[in-house]
Amino acid sequence: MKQFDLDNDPKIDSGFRIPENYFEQFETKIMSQISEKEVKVISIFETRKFWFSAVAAVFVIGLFTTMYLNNIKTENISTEDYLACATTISTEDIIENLSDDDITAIEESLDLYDQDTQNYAKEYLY
Amino acid sequence: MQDEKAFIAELLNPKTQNDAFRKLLQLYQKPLYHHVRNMVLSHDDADDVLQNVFVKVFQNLKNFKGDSKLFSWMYRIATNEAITFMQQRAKKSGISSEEVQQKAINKLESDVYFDGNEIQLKLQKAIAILPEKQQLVFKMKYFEELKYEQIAEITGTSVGGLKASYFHAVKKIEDFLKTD
Repeated sequence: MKQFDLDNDPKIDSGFRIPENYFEQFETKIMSQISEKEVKVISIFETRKFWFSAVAAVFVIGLFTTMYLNNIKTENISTEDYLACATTISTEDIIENLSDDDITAIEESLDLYDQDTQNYAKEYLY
Repeated sequence: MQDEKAFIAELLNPKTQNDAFRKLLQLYQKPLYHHVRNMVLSHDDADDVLQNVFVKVFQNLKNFKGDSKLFSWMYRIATNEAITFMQQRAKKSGISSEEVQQKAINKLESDVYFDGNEIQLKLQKAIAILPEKQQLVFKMKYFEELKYEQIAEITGTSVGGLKASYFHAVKKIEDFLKTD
């Protein structure tokens, strides 16, 4: 059995070989690679792409904002406005659903029986 | 290098950059090539990794703080690039880094840029069974003939720790070489 003493025996070479002129070619290759990286040309397409993206982003933001605001509006519509706009509901439908108290409240809010109205009624209607 | 600060200033100055970088390449391409080749084993892979190393060095020169020497900074970049290269290859093939290394050793026999004899091939096989850190220390000390102080700067390990790693590595390799 052969004994090995790596630190005192003649050194075992790694056995790796390198192609001829490799380092000269490597130097040229790297120097051209780094000069390409130094002069970074921004193509017109890249600039255009930026503006396309910017416009698209503004459009999308606008769309979502409008949708969001519309949504808020719908939530805030009062029952009165809804009834006024909903044409399939007739006046009769509304009256049927009103109680006496509701009618009294409406009369009071409209102030039908103030002095001027009563005078007018007496003069022309009776 | 005599005046490293002045050299770094030349590397950063756009007017002197090209000449200074060429000088850097001439100084370091050979030692870094051997360093990378010892890790990835095949010439073509070493060539790919070494290109990445110098491009990275160029791109990161402006971030080089000068806290460490250019020498150890570049060796660190080269070491990391070689390790990343092996890990990526392992991930792509769905095998471990050790298996990637084993495959690379098997390919050595038919590699035109490896004309090692039986004992050289056996030495490569012996190194491959060592833990990653011991492999690195052994290769840097035995093949690349770097000083412990230099290896310590590159790896950020104490000289004492490195000596212990090298000692263990040599023992295991000698035992492996003895067997048939």
